[in-house]
Amino acid sequence: MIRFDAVDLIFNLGQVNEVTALKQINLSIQKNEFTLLRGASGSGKSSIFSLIAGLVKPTSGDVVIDGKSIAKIPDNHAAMMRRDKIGVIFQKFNLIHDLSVFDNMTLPLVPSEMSIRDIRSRTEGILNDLSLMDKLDTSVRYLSGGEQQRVAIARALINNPKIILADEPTANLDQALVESFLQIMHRLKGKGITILLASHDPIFSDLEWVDRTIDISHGELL
Amino acid sequence: MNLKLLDYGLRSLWRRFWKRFTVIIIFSLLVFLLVSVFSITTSLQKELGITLEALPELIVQKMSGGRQTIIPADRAYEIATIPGVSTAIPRVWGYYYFASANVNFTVVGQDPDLESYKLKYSELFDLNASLLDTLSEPYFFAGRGVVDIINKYYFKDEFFFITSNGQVLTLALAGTFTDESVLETNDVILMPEDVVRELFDIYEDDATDIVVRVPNPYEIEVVKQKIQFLYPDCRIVSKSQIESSYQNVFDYKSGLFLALLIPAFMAFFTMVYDKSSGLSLEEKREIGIMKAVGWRVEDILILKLIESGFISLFSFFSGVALSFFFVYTLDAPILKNLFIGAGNLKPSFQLIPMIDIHILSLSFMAIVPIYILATIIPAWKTAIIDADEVMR
Repeated sequence: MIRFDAVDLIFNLGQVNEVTALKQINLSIQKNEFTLLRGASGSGKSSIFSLIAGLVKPTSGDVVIDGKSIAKIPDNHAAMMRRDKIGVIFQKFNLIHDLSVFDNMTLPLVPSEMSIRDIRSRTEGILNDLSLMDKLDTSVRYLSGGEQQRVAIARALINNPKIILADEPTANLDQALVESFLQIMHRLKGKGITILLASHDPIFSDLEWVDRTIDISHGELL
Repeated sequence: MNLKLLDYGLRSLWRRFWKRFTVIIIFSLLVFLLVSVFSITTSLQKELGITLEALPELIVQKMSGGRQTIIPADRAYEIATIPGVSTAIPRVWGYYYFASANVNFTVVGQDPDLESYKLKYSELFDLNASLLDTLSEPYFFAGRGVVDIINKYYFKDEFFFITSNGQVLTLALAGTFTDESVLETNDVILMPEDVVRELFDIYEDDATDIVVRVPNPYEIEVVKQKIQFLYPDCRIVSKSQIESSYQNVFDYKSGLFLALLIPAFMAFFTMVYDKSSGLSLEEKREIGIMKAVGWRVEDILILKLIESGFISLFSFFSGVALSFFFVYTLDAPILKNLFIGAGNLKPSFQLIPMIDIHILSLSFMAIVPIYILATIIPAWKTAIIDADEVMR
């Protein structure tokens, strides 16, 4: 499903401020696998996510998604791949605050060919699952942290992704909301989605349904 | 065209409403000023062009001490014999100062030379000319502005003129010039030539000036020189001189207005510069989010095109509509008076409605593409940078 072959990621290559984010990463994640990526801030977790999402390209090596190399695909193709296959849950949710719940969660589908009717029916299903149906037209600025996170999850699910990337999703949540988030993730795993979750929150280490834990430090897998 | 993108773009205009509203107001105002000034000048020039077209090719004025004075009317006969001259007609006219209102009326002796106004006698007045037969006292016709003024001083059907000899001359108001001719006739009083002579104390053998018709434009200069040679004490004013002096006044005033538009343009270009020099952090973040969730660069550019296109086109058409309403419905208050302030009575005529495609194109090009580019270029610069930052 996801494969990294000897991936290096270096920012500002050849310049004074050159930074090596990832070094010789070899990684293979299977379909429907729930993978926990664990490491301190700045260890390279987000860089791995950016590579999988096609937001950055590796300096060397190859990144393969569903059997296709994305290391050198043009930006537009990478964007299409994100739209078709990947859902991202950001650490700070990255919602557009003056848009409604509906507009935020359907944002990935705005440039797509999907009809409004299909989008609406898909939206309703997801919002019911996430208990957000009554907030459909509410501006996200008026939502609580937990509700905002559920909107971010809803947005990640709207394109029916095969892969979900969740970057430090519980960093800004209290204990109750973390529990709620774990239940949602468990449900998504049950639906066959491949989940890659980056966190240094110890709560994930004890979960029996986490298939695999990968530790990363200073850009290298341990 | 992706309708969802269009819908999203239009709905997102409501966000940051006041910022966009301010942009629309400034752009609309700029277009309004630009189109108004151009429309007024074009319309007035058109109106003036019609008037000037009817002017005689040459006007002969006798000069004395550097000022125009009475000219012997029989010089018209001699001028008429010059080859190339079709007619030479002495005119009797002058300015009548109405002290109560502190205005001058232009009093013209009625003669067969009505052709110089390019209007047929029957088309010139609102009153039927046959009524003249029933009038027992001397009469006059007046322009709309004159009638308005004298009505203010309780003169309705007649007016008391004071002659150059201090006598009172009572004349009946026989009719008013039609509105179509108001630019030329607003401050004009037309009366029988012998009454004008009595009013201004002009002898029967004299005239105010002589109008000369020369059908062949190539002969005008030669005829002018011949008249000058014949009467060195005369000044000969050609139609082209009058046209160019009017043109100069219009060009000067148009330039003045365009100079007044500079602050509005400065505001516009400051806004454009501000916009093109970069996006706000919020806007950059939004573009990053869009890219991260699967928007292509072209999707983002189309969205920005929709937003900026709507704002600039809406501003442009609002400005144009407002300008047309101001100029052709409200008759351009203030602005028009500034342009036509040369007469003692400012004519209250309606501007000729004209849609000048050149004016509209110029205004369009000055606003719409510049704003769209100033929006799209920084958005493109942001969109081509990796959206990786939003992941962090």
